[in-house]
Amino acid sequence: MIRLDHGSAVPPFEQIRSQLDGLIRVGALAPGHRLPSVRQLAGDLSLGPGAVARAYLELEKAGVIATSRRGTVVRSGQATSVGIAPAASDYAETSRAAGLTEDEAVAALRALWPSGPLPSPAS
Amino acid sequence: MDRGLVVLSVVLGLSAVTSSVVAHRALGPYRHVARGLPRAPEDATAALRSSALTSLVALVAAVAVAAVTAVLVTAASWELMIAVLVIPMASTMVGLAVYAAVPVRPAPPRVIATAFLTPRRPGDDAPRMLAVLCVALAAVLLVLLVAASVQDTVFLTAQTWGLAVAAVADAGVTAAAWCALRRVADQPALPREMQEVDRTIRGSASRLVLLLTASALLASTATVTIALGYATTSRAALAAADGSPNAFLAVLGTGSTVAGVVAVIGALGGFVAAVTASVSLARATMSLDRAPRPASVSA
Repeated sequence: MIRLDHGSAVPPFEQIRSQLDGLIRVGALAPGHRLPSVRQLAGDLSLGPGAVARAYLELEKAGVIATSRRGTVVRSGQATSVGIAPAASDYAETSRAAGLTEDEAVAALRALWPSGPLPSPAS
Repeated sequence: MDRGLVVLSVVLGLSAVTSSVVAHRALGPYRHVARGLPRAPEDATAALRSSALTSLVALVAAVAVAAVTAVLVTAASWELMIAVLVIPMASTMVGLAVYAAVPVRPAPPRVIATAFLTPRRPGDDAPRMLAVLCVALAAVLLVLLVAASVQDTVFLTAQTWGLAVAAVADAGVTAAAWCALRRVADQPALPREMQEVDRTIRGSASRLVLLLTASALLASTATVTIALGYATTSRAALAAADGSPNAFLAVLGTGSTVAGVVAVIGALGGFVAAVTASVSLARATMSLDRAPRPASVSA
């Protein structure tokens, strides 16, 4: 399932693209999984079809999904972050329990994402 | 008492009882929906109201087309058999086409929208048995029409072109049913919290589409079957008069006629169920304004 925040400053197509990309990377959407049609997803999210079509197009360009006559499917070999899925899930739960919003949790992660090695939790 | 009158009374009584049973069984899911309506969030009741109105529009269109077509074919001097064969399918085809053409209701506006990442296909929430019955009936009817057209039609109809028209109508009503089910699938989903209601509404709409389709196909199948039964019985009677009685033909004719009567009962039951379901849904949704409701779910 994906969520779309109509009040967010992030454009709808980017919200859809990033969530789909994340779900595919952690293996939540398996290779060969058929995604809903542009019209269905746009209708369910109260969007114009253009935003969903653009998100699908970007993901297709990145080689994450493939579109054919049968529909849009997840390509194989895209689940590159399966190993960190449990840790990411723990982080999301901890952030939510601490009262952080999604944007704040992501911002905290970015702040801890230096070019060098991450600080040890013990330090 | 005339024996024919007794048989007719028995058939009519049996038809009435069976139609009531079929209609009663088909109405179960609608009653379930209607019972939960006063406690359902506004988004769900709005979706149900929209579904009920679309169904009623389709039914009214089908009945109107049936009435107009009946007048037209009478004026054009169509044989009764051809008229009864074509009218149910043609009117249902138009009704379902209207259903498919009605624009879908947009998803209720909300700040946080959610969507499942599984494609919805036509008939996903439709009763499997009813869907299989419709496909089987469409195929059987096509076979019967071909069988009727390739044999000597002296006892069947003088307007053999009517059989070709019926075959086109058979394909048309099947295609229209698929389009109507496609529309049911295309309807934007209710929020995640109302998934059960969403599925129930889709199931009810799909059931209505399939009930109408099955009813029309059964009516036309009954017409062909009874006509073929009559033709076969007549042929058997001729053979008997010639001194070479054919028991197989006689049994086939009687069996065909009985199958036709059963199909008439099924058609009647399906139609009664479809009409009653639409009307009861519409009445239930109209009564919502008088019932206290919780606030709409915002996300």
